Amino acid sequence: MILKNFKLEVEKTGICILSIDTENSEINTVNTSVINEFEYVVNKLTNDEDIKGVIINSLKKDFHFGYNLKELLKIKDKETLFNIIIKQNKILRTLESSGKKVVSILKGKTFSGGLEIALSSHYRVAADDPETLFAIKDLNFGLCMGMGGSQRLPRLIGINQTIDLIINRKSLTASEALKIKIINEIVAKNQLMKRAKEIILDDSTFVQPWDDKNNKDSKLKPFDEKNFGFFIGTISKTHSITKNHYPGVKTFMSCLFEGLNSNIDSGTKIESRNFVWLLNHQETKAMIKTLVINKPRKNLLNSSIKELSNILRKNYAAEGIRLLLQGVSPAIIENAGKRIGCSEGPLATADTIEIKNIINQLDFSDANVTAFIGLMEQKSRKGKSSGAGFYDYNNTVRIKIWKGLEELVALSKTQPEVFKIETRLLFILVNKFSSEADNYMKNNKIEEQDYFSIKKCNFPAWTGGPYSWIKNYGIEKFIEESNDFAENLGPRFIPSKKILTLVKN
Amino acid sequence: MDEAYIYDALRTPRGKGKKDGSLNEVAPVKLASQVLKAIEKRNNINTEDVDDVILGCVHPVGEQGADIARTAVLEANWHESVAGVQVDRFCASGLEAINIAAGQIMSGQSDMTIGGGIESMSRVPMGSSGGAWMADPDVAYHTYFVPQGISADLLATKYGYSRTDVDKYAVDSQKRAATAWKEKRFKNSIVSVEDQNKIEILSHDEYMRPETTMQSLASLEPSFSKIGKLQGFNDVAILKYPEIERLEHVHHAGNSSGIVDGSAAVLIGNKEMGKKYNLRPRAKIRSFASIGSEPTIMLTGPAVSAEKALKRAKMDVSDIDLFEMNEAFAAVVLRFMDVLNIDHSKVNVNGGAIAMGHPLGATGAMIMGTILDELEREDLSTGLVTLCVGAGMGTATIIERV
Repeated sequence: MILKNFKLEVEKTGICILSIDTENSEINTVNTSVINEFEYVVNKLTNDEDIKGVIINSLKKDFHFGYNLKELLKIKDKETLFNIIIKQNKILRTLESSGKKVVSILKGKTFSGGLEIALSSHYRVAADDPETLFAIKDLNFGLCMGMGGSQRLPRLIGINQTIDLIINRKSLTASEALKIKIINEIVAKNQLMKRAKEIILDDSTFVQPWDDKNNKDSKLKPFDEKNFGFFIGTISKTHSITKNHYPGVKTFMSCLFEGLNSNIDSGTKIESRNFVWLLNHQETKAMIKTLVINKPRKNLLNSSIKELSNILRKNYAAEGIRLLLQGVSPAIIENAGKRIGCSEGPLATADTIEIKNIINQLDFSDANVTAFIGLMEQKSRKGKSSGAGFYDYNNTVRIKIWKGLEELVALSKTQPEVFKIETRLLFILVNKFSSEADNYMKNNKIEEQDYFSIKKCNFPAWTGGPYSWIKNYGIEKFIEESNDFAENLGPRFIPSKKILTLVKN
Repeated sequence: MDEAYIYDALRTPRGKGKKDGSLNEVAPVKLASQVLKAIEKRNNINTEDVDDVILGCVHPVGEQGADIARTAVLEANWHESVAGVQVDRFCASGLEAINIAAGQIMSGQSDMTIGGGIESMSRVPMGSSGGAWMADPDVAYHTYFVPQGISADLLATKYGYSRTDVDKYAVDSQKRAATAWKEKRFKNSIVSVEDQNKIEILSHDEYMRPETTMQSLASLEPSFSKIGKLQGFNDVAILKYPEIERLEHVHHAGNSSGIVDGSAAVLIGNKEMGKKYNLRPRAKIRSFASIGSEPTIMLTGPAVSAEKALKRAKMDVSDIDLFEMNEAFAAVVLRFMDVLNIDHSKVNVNGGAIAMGHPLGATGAMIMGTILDELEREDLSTGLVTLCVGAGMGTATIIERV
């Protein structure tokens, strides 16, 4: 086989240097052609009796970034995808259990699956360099690990450390990684290869902790008394924060729970099945496309993007007040906002930006809103900074909805279902963004506007941005329902020309 | 269908479920076997005639594991032909055991059975049996799992029970239990726990605090406020109940059921067995039912299970003379009374688990004995026993004196 992604050198000492150099790419990633070559290479060197050990090296600036998600997303058949993921895991498993000592030398970024590859070697030496960084932040785009990391990491550093690293999406420097034992050693960049060779040739043992039959570490069991409460609490905390979005978070917890009650082989299968499920999840796909695949190369923004962000917040808050005046209970309004992924509810947002500042976003149909804001002013309910708005405050800490609100508005006896309010809030955010964005962004490509809506305008990331969300919701359905909203509630719901042209494409 | 008669009901006193509780030194199998022995002795039965012993136990692990019911049968030196099975319907396990035991009689598949329960909470702590419900992320997310105390506070918030309401209920429970003990209303059912020398270890419910007042309860901090906030449980509850702005934490150690140790057993049989041993049937089982309800608020099941059991018995709420509704948390009983429109004077007339404690797997069988004694004392006819159950269930049983 002619190798296009790897370089293989076997020295007389019995050391094999396996250098990764992904073809046509600035970074090392794993795609199907890489997997095929990797399988060939690993079978070859693990069956070669003359080889004592393997050094995994990168010929790029960085060590590795894991799977090529763009390619994986193109694979529509789930079973085909599953078999690819299983194959990659099997290769790593073969390598770590073949009886050859495996050392990886890490420099630059070791991210996502890159770190997972490194974890399947017996020893990790990292460069003493500020650019050496370790992270698995795939939860940012709804994904979780897919090369055994959810199984190896806890078995290496414990459940608590793993959860902290992954759930909190931490980036570690070399010394931080050494501290929690993700790597074994730090050496000067130019000493990496020399040191790796020494380790291969010394007589240190090299059994992975999960293959060590003497290692009966009870810290790893979710049902261990000490872990149980922490585990349950983490599930609850992540659930309360993600609010049923970002499916990778729950999946990650599932990989820990199901995998740690078994062994590494069952564990990696559990992880692979979850990984395939996630890659086919609507929210994850939307996030990967917007935040990873279509990520703009250059920052094309002008400074007025902040103004766009403010306009969205004001409109979000104004919609909350309109809902209130229609008799919807504050609890449902606020919870609906949080459920769609906004950091605070519409009324809390109104308080934060000062209620009167919303007025410049109101239209001719909003006379009652303007009047109501005036009434609030009269009652000295102006917003957060004065300590009294829709909420009561203790200094600037929000306590609870102001009791007096009940006297100012008549709440309906039958309240709407919360998802209807969620939909209405999303519709206002999407339509407002779409009708205003071209005025505030130099680039009018929808993919890039999706990206910046999330990164600069606090648009909920799980949507993949307004246009991705419309596509998942159904473009025609969105337009039809927007027009219904516009007819009943006002012109602010009229879909933009840009949205109308989505249908043609 | 055969009639299932209750011939007897006995229980141990309830010991504080802590290391300094009186029953902490007694292994759970010994608690259970002493009650079985007492049933045998008082009714003078040949245990060979008992087909099955069904015991509720919520944490069947460690020394409560490996089928504690069969183990207790053997430890009690009952005939080896007596089968034993442990059942778990969380807090209603003891009542469920009675229902299964009665079902065996009604279906004609057994002649004499025991339904009862055992829980040594001081020796096998709550949570010992783990569970996918709360720890499997798929299940916990899907069911919006929160601990029961959060559910109780959610129930209070949703239906508007204030701290004053629940504390007032708790004070009543303590007063009623104190009166009941003072007037020796439980004396017919209590089996003192003894050691191997027949030296008495405990003869009364030691958890009670008859001196409890509204003022003394007011000083107690809510039990679930901290974990609710820190571990996100409040937000998970609100995710399921978006009509709620914020949870009001009203439950605390003084208006929730006490953690205690104890065991109970109820002797059930058909007519022939009564004749054989010259036993007077104390009551018959009219009907029983278990139901599932929404698991996050978790504790709304009793009224639904009661209604289902009433329907099966072709009875109305007004046909029931007395109710025992397990006092898991004060708000649960308040809600039960509101839904079925029952006056407090008919419910838990001798106090309940807030005053005396709730030995999880045993409580259902204990309060069955309590209601039976009280029906006899007051010469009333019908009683309904019900408990709220973890993961959103309810179990109820209706009995009628004969």
